[in-house]
Amino acid sequence: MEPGGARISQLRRGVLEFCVLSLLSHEELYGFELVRRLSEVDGMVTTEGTIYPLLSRLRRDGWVTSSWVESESGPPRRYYALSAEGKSALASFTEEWVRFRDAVDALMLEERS
Amino acid sequence: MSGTAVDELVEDYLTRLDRLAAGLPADRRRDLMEGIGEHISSARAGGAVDVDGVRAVLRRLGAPEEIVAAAAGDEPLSATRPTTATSPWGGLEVSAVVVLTAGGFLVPGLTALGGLVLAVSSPRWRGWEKSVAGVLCLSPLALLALFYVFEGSVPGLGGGNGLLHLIYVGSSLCAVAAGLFLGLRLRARTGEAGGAAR
Repeated sequence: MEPGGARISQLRRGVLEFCVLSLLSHEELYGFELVRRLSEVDGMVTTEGTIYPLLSRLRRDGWVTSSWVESESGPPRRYYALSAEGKSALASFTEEWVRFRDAVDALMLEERS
Repeated sequence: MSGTAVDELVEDYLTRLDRLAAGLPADRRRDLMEGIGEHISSARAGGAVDVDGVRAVLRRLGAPEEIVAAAAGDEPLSATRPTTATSPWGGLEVSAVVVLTAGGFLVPGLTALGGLVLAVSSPRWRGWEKSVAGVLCLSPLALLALFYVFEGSVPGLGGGNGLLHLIYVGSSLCAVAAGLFLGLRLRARTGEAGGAAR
């Protein structure tokens, strides 16, 4: 693992759940599709299987709901959707994230120059 | 032919995952198995049909160890809190009560001291509760010490001294009483914790 790898993955894990919420705020998705979308973003997911425990927790926390939908190709799929609580959690994270990101950027760019 | 090889590959993976997930609460284990199972079916329905394709899907999912570790570690709220919040009974507390109550009949005096040490080192009992248990456990021993001072010897069981037997029996009963007292106090507190949670 690269230097600081454990910390980077910790940071990623903390933010990942909000990326899941963000994807679900646009449309309902089933697990495989959701994982594929996340994996398309470079550096977002290293182990796809770990998304499922995350989804399970988001469901138990009430931020995400799920329902079974029949599929033409293969077994029924569990579709995930954002709940009202999930929506407001995402909104407050987004606000905090923008401030935090700008602050970190400003500090690091200042250090460099 | 390749169909069965692919099935075997998937089956092996899911079996390993399921075995490793045995430590998770039942509902989370089921959730995990359902999620991963559905993921693999979707990938196969979407074109991963040969051995190489399925291998790639499994590699991207990650080692079962990693997934289960994430499932076990991903519970900052529900994993550790309920056991400590709803029940004040830990190994230390159970041992203290058992040693005081049951042990009192086996080796009077010694077990009373041992049980008392266990009870005092537990953070679950309040100071005054420990004091009550302490007085109960130590007063018969103090009486024995008085004997030593006045008789000049540690009294043995074979002495046939009526008063002495009384102290031994009393010591056992006091230890049992201390054990019951501590046990009942913790039981009362379990009720309180449940009441506060509601």
